[in-house]
Amino acid sequence: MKVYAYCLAADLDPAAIASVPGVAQTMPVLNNCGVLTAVVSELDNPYVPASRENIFAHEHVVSAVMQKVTPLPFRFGMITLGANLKRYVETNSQRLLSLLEHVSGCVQMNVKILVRTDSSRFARPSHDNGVLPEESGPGTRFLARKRVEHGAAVINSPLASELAGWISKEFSTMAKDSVVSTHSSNSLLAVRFLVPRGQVEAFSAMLELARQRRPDLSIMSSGPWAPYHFAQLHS
Amino acid sequence: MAEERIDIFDEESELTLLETVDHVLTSGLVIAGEITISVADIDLVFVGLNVLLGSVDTIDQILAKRQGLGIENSN
Repeated sequence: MKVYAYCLAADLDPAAIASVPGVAQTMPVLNNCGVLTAVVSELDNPYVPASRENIFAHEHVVSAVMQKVTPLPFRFGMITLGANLKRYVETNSQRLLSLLEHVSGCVQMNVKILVRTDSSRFARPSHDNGVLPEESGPGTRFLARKRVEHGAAVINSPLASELAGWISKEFSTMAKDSVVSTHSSNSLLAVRFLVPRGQVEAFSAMLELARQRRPDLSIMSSGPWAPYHFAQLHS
Repeated sequence: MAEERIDIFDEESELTLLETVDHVLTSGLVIAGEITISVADIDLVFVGLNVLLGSVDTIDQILAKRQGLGIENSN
């Protein structure tokens, strides 16, 4: 039978997911994979549309587990045979355990930074009308137009490095790890922090201070989330 | 004008939706060769301007697959 996999955890109590509906109107169950436990739904029909309902169901199941322990979440759409899931865990057991230890007791906090063009320091060049060459992807062109409409400046590489360095330094005392990326629209710097659960309140307070210090930036945040961006097995 | 711009990003529910999509569709553990995303009703993701914050490219890729491959994408 095929299963839909939500996340991997260690020593998970079944009560954590007892009343949380999963994707495709299924109920998640625990699947013993040796050194780790997988949270899965058993599928009669291995077809799970990427609808709003299913995307949120995936997230809700992972969030329910997060209430108890920090898991390693799977990406949406992970449908496989139960035997293949077990083999995946066995084959990668050391690396998965290492990852799980890294994220243990932590949550992911997301920070997104938009540079405002009403800041004289980052004023948009007069020739920047948000129009990109046709070879750019449709999403990139759309975002470039929106960036101009909403007054966001381009984040070039030096600026991205500067902002990444600044924000990482700001939170260095309370984040265990961080992942920085610049969106392909070049208008947004995204930083995902791995924050110990006990530091979330202090993290939010520090974020507010950062907003006050940098009025030239729009600093958005969300969280706490499961550590999706820290659950990556690099080959 | 600046305040109006900020308001766009203060719609928490839309930001939460965007962040959820951003996480769930683009990150997390992957079992090589096993991921299957069947896209249906994905237009629901286009809930507002917050989409410009992160996922349009992802969604465009999915929509392109949907149009070209009959709504199934395998990595």
